[in-house]
Amino acid sequence: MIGLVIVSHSAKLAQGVYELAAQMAGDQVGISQAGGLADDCEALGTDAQKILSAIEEVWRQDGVLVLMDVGSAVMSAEMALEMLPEERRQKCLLSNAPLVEGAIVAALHAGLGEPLQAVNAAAESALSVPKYCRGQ
Amino acid sequence: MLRPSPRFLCRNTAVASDQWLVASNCRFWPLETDYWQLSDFILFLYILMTSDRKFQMENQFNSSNHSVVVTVSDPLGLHLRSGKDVARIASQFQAQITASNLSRNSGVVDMKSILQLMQLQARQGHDLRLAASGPDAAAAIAALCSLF
Repeated sequence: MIGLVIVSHSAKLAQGVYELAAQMAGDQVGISQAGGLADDCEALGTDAQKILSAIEEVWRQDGVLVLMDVGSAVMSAEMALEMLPEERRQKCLLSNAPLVEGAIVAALHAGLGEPLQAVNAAAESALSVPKYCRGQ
Repeated sequence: MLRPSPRFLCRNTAVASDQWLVASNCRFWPLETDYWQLSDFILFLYILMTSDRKFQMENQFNSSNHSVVVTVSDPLGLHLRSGKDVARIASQFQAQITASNLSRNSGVVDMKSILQLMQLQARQGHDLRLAASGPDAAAAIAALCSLF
């Protein structure tokens, strides 16, 4: 079973996405969040050290999938990965999935015990699924 | 659309899983035209040359197709949390399982995908057609029916 990390500029958004994902996942899926700046959770921003701690917190032998919102969240996550030991870095994956939909899908599939790559593929498929079909 | 005659179907029920088996087991050669009618020969070639058709034939013989129409009873409709249970149950089966919202005239979606289930936009009272094909299709439909 893999672990999930939710990264957002906003601590409140990360918390909200975390709650959504936790609803979808089984008990065995570890989910952690890294939202806002390290020293001031109210300020918007991302912090590589905070993301690193979040990855360590949910570390699983099967790997960890990191879901981010936009922009510097991706860069901070990359930096966090660089700080990881080599053998852990190889089992850590940054997802291209949209944060909310991706977290929901990833949590569900992680709960089914799917491997890291399969969970990421399912989450990234959210990019091509419209919310609803017009004209219905 | 070309449809196989009932007589042709009967002959091939035992060997429909492999198109080459069909050829060898039936000892089908053009010389034995007294054994096989020309129409059967044309049909045989047609199936041999179209993999789609072959797939349909296999489906027809080796696995089962089941479908059912259910009405959404949940006052909240098919929402994220109930959809999660549907996707989870559906994922436990090998069968390909699809759903469409008859009340909205929707397209067909994969029931193993939570986001596609949400596309159905199913409210209370909507009719959904669930369809499954594969070895455990009947069990899948039975399990999913109980969720609505």
